[in-house]
Amino acid sequence: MLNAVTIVVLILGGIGVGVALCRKKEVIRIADRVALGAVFVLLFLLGLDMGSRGDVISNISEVGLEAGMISLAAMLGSLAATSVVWVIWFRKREGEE
Amino acid sequence: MKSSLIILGVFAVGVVVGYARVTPEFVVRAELSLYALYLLVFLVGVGIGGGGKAAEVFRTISLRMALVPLSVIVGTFLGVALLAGVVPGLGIRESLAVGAGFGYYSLSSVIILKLHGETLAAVALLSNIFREIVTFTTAPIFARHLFKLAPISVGGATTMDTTLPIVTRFTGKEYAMICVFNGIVLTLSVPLLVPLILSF
Repeated sequence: MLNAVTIVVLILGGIGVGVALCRKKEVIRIADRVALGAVFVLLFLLGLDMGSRGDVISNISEVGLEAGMISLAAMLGSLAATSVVWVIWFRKREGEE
Repeated sequence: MKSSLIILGVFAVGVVVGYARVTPEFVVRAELSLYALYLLVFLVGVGIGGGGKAAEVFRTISLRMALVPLSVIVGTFLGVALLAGVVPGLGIRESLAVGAGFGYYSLSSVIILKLHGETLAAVALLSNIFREIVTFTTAPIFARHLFKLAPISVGGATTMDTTLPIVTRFTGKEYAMICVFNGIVLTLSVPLLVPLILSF
């Protein structure tokens, strides 16, 4: 079963290993390639899971619509909140430069 | 942009193969995706630590820099909560969990698959890929005509790696550190916030 603590420990452990290996550019590059491979495997398996159960496919238009709406709401909300940060803490200094 | 299309293609092939039921049962049952996810998050960590950027980012960190990812989290949740309140049939908990991917589709969709189910995982996958694609296509316009932080805000977790080149090209190099910091904070928050939201 998935465990959020495991994931956080793995990311932090990875950062530690990465810092230790940061001089070895070759190793970091290989890690990058393998990570992309892992994304491919994950997405393929995710597709496999969804395809074999069928209810995602039968609801595909609803899934797409919900995804689009949530994505737009998330981005518009982010833009609104970040614009406040921009106006108060960034814009002035930008003008001085 | 090209890579997110390739990834959608790989996903589509998976759907077709799954639908055709040609894969042996053990492949589906073996929790392979869980181990691939563990490998991925570990390697994402290695990338953050080994990229040399992390140390530089944490040397230049300031309070106003920290406000950028914070505003993305708050804004995303407000926007999505508002939507879920208006559109009937859209669960607020489910919608917030999808929004909490911040564009990091692989991690968020697999976490949601394991904790909730495949339909919401599909929503999370498409929704967060969409966020990445919109970032790629709007970064030039938003940086010029809205404000410099706009593409960083829209990009969410992706500004650490995939959308970093295009975003900094239009915001200027002086925003590169904010991009990386924003992406790192949001990337780390995905495995924390998605399970937390779904636990309610």
